[in-house]
Amino acid sequence: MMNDNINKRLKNAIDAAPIDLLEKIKAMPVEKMAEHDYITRQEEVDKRHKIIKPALSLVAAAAVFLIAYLGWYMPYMKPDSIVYLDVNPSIEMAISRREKVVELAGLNKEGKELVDDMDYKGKDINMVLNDLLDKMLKEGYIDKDRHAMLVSVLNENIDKGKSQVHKLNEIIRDFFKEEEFKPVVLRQSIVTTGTIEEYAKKYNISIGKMTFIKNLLILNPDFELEELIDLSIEELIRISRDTGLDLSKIVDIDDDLIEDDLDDPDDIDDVEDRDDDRGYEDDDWDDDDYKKYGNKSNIISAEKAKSIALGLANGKITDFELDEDDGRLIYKVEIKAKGLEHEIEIDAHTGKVLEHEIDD
Amino acid sequence: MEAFEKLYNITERTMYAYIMSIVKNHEDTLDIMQETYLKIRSAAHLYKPMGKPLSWMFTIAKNIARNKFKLENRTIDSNDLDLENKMEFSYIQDPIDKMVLKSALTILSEEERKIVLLYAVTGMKHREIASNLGIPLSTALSKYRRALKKLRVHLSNQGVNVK
Repeated sequence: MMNDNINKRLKNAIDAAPIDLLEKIKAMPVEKMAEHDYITRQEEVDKRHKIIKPALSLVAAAAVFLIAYLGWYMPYMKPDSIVYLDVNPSIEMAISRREKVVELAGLNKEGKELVDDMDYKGKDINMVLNDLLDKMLKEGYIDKDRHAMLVSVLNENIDKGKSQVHKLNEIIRDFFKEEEFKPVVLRQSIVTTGTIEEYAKKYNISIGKMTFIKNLLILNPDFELEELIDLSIEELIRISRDTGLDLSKIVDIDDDLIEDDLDDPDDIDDVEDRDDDRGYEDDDWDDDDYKKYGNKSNIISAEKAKSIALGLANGKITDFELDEDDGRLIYKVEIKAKGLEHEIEIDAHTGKVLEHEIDD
Repeated sequence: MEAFEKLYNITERTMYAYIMSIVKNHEDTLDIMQETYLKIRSAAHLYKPMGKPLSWMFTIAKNIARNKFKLENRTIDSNDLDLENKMEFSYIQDPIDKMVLKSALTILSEEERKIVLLYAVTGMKHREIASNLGIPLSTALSKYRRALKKLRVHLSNQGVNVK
C-alpha cells in the first residue's frame, strides 16, 4: 500500500514532464551508419536469459526497419493480437495481453477520419470498440439498412484468436441491444502472410478484409480482385449471396441474421440454380456428403489446396498429402518460408484452413 | 518513418525515466533522449533482433550520457549548485509528487533509481526490468525493496507522509 503510493507519486512526477521531441527528431537529417560504433554496439545476449521473443517476428518479409519496430515493442506493451474491424471504415487495433488497446489506426480514408481524434491509449478494448461503434452510428456508416461488419483477429495462436473473436462479437452484440436492428457480424481468426499483407497495403484495406476477399476469390474464381476491393462488407456479402457462395465456409456467421436481413427472398431460390457457376469443385456438396466424406470427387483439388496453403505462407511446399482424420478428408501441407516451417491443414471438403502451425 | 514514430511513442516515457535516473534533471534528460533517438534512427538498420531491443536502447542512452558528461567535464553524481538548480522540476504541480521524485534522485544509487523509476513509470515486471538492465532478477528485487525502504524512511524524516 505504502509502496504503491510512492510508485504512484513517482509516476505522476515523471508523467508531468513536458517532452516534445518527436517532431524535432523527425525533422533532423540522419545519416545511416555503416557499422556499429562504441555507442550502438550490441552486447552479446546470454543465451540462458533469452526469453522474450518478438511475437510477430514471422512478418519477416517487411523492411528491416519494420522488423526492428515489431521486435521493439516492449514486452508489456507488445500487442498480443491485432484486431481488424471493417465496415466501410477499415480500422486496425493492436491489443495487449491485458486487452488494452496499444494502437489504433484507420486504414482507409473513412477509417482515418473516424479514429482521428480518438483517445484510446491504454484503454480497454471493450471501451474503444464501443466508442468506435458509437461513432460509426453517428456518422451513418451503420444504420438500419447497412449494418454488416467483418471482425478479424490476427494472432499467432489460432485458438486464442478464435476466443478473442468470440469476445469481440459479444461486445458488439451488447452494443446493439438497444438498437432496433441487429448487426451482421462476419468473424474470422487469421494468421498473417507476406502476400496478403502486401496486397492489403497496396489497396489500403485491412489484412482482415484482404483475407476475406482472397477466400472469396478462391470460392469463386470468376470474381476479380479489383471489383471486390472497394466494396463495403455489406456489398461483399450481397454479391456472395447473389452468386450463391456459402460464406460459412470461409467466415463464422450467424445464419439466421443473414437471411432475415440481407437476402431478398428470391435470392434463396437462385442459389440452387446457380450451383453450376460457382466455380467451386464441390458442387454437389451437402450435409450428407459431408458425413460420407469418402467420395473424393467432392473435395477441392490438390492444386487448390496448395494455392490456399501458399496464400498463407509463400514459400516452398516440402510435404503434401491428403489424409483422413476423424472421418474427414484433410490436406496436410508443409511449407518452408523464410526460415520458418508452416504446417497447414485444410479441410478438403470446404477449403477451410483448420490449422496453421509455425515453427522456427 | 511511421515505424519510428510508433517506436518513439511506445518508448518515450520509459526512455525518459531511464535517462532521468542517470542524469537527474529534466533538461539533460531531454538532450540525451533526443540524441539517443537520433542514434537509433541512424543505426536501426544495423540492429540485430536479439529479443531485448529496449536493452539496446538503454545502452545507447547510457553511452551518450556518459559521453556528454565526460565532454563537459563534470561528474554525474556531483552535488554542485548547478545541479541543485536544475532539479527544480517546476512543471510538477503536486508538491509531494515533486518531493518524492527529488528524494529518489538524491538518496538512491544510480542502479536503484533505474530499478525504481522503471518499475513505477512503465508498469514493466521486475523480471523484464532485470533482463533489460542486464542484472539478475534477485538483485533487482532486493535492490528495489531496499530502495523503497530508504525512500520511505527519508520521506518520513522530512515530514512527508507517504501513506
